[in-house]
Amino acid sequence: MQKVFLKVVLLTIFVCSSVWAEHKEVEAQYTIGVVPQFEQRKLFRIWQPIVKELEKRTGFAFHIVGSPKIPAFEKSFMAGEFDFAYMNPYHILKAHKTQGYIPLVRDGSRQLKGVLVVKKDSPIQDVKELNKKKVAFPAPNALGASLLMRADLSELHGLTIFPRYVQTHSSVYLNVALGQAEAGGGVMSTLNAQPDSLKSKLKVLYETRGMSPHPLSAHPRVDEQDREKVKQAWLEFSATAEGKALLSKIPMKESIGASMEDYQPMAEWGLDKYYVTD
Amino acid sequence: MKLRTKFIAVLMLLTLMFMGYMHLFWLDSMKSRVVELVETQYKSHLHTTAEGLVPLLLENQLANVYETLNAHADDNPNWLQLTLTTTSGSRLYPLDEPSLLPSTYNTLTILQDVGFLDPPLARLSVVIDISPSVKVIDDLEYDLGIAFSLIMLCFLLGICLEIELFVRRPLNRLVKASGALMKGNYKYPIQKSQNDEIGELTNYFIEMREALHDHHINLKEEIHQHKNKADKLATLKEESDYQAAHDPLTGLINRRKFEELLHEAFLRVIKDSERHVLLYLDLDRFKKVNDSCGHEAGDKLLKEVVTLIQGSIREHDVFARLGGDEFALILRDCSHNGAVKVGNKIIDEVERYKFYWEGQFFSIGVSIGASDFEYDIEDEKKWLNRADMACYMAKGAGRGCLKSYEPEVV
Repeated sequence: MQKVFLKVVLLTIFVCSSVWAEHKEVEAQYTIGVVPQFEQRKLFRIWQPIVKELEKRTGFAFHIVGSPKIPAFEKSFMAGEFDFAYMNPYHILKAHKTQGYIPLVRDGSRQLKGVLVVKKDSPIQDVKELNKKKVAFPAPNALGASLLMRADLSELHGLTIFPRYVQTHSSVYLNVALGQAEAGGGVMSTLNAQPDSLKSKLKVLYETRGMSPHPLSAHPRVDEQDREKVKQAWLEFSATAEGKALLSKIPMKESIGASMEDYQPMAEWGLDKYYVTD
Repeated sequence: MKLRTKFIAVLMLLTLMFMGYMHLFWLDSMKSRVVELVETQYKSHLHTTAEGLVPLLLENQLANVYETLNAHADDNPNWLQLTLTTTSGSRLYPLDEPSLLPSTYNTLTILQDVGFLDPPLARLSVVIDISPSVKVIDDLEYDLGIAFSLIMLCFLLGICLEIELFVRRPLNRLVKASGALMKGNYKYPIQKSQNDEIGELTNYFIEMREALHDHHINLKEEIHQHKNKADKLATLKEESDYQAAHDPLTGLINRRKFEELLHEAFLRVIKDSERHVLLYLDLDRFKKVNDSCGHEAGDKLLKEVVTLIQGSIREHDVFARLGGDEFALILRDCSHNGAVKVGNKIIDEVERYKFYWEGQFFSIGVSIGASDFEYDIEDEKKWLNRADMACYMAKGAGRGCLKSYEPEVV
């Protein structure tokens, strides 16, 4: 009799815990939008384990929402479609302005800068010599490589250049190395990722002003407690070796808390003038 | 060079010529065709590649261009060098100046314009290693060489066998039969086996040999007959000569022959200074026997006297019957005294001789005239004449004696 009672109690506990667990999962479901800086499969491979860990640590359910291209992504966050979103520094300015997105965390280990490369044996020694020269860029709105670079060249150095958009950072470097453009805009990380044979043919002529890297931001409709919970979970996870390894693939080597103040200087750089809309 | 060697040499030469033709002309043209085929195939491939590059180049997407061309280069390990240049000649691909290819490669270079306008967007050039394709041809040549060599070997053996059986051996038999025929052998075995030209030749040879054989037999017969005839004629001539030179009764040489021999002796005396003495003999009282007893008795008497005289002279002396009961004798290498002795001996022998005929005995004698050779004798007739004269003198001196020729006496 006692055994039967014990079995009933255990069964009840099991059923209740299952129901509770089920109930807990459906309690808060959020979407995360990620800027399509890599092709989708790679993007998901990077983000999937991170999101799983966040779910474990916060108890929320996250759904990664992909965007085929950057303009589509921009339209989505401008429409406030994502609860959370990982976006570039320029995006956060626009997202904050339109939807009030709030930065939660960012990489504290570095500053984002655009680099201007020329051929190693190029006679050009100073950025000012690029006036009325052909300069390659990946795309008009690529933040560091194109948007900020063009703003810098024009605003800070008063240059008029003829941009040539060649789709990718690698194409920029190849165009410069093969003499198809006098100079090219890129970022240090993509430059370093090029094969040595290409890197060895290039030199950095100029670096743009620095800006805080991509933040993970939250839509203001997300409950503040939940936002904080996510932020804490992220920061705690980043403190672990596993978290550091996973997050560095985003890339976010050293996660720190972020705020709009980090991105405020950019607002004064007048990048909108150089932003090209379809 | 033997027939077999000649045939093999010709076949070997033909084989070598064919192999040479195959290597120098046929395979060369095959190689060209294969290269053309490969070129067409790669041109088509390169055309497609170039089309794919057009949109990328229009947007200067060199990274994608590199990705595409790298992929093509990876997919085609026999593309030794792939370059993309602008129309002005600037290199777009690869990043580094391509190194020079070793000359050991068998390459094919194909150029392809990128874009459909003139001038094109860029120019694609690919150096392709066609060694595998060329190797296929080389392998093919090797395999064909082996196969052909085997076929030619079989062919060669077949022809050799055929030539050996149907040409060389029958001809060799004919050669041996001819050789044997030359040596007079008409029986060397030879077969009539084939119905071809050699068979015909063999048949004709056999017929010819048989004809020769028959002819040979007839000829031999004829020669034999001629030889017999000639032998008979020679015998007859010998007999005739003998009869012409000899006296049929006594067997001594006759006057004509004697004169010949005397002439020879005369010449030898003059030339070689030999010394001969001529005796002229005349039987005494022979006529009496002949007349009283008949010719038969006379003949018998003559035979017996000749035999008697022959016993008194040397073998090499010449003894002849000049006619009737007259005889002559050349005593060779003889002195006058020696001749006188021989003559006297003959006289004595004849004097002692008694002829018996039908119960009666008859005595006869002989008168002999001797003549030495003197240098005033012009010819043999004179010499004989002198001996005759001396004999006449002996007769005149009472018969049964020997008288030498003395000119003062005469």
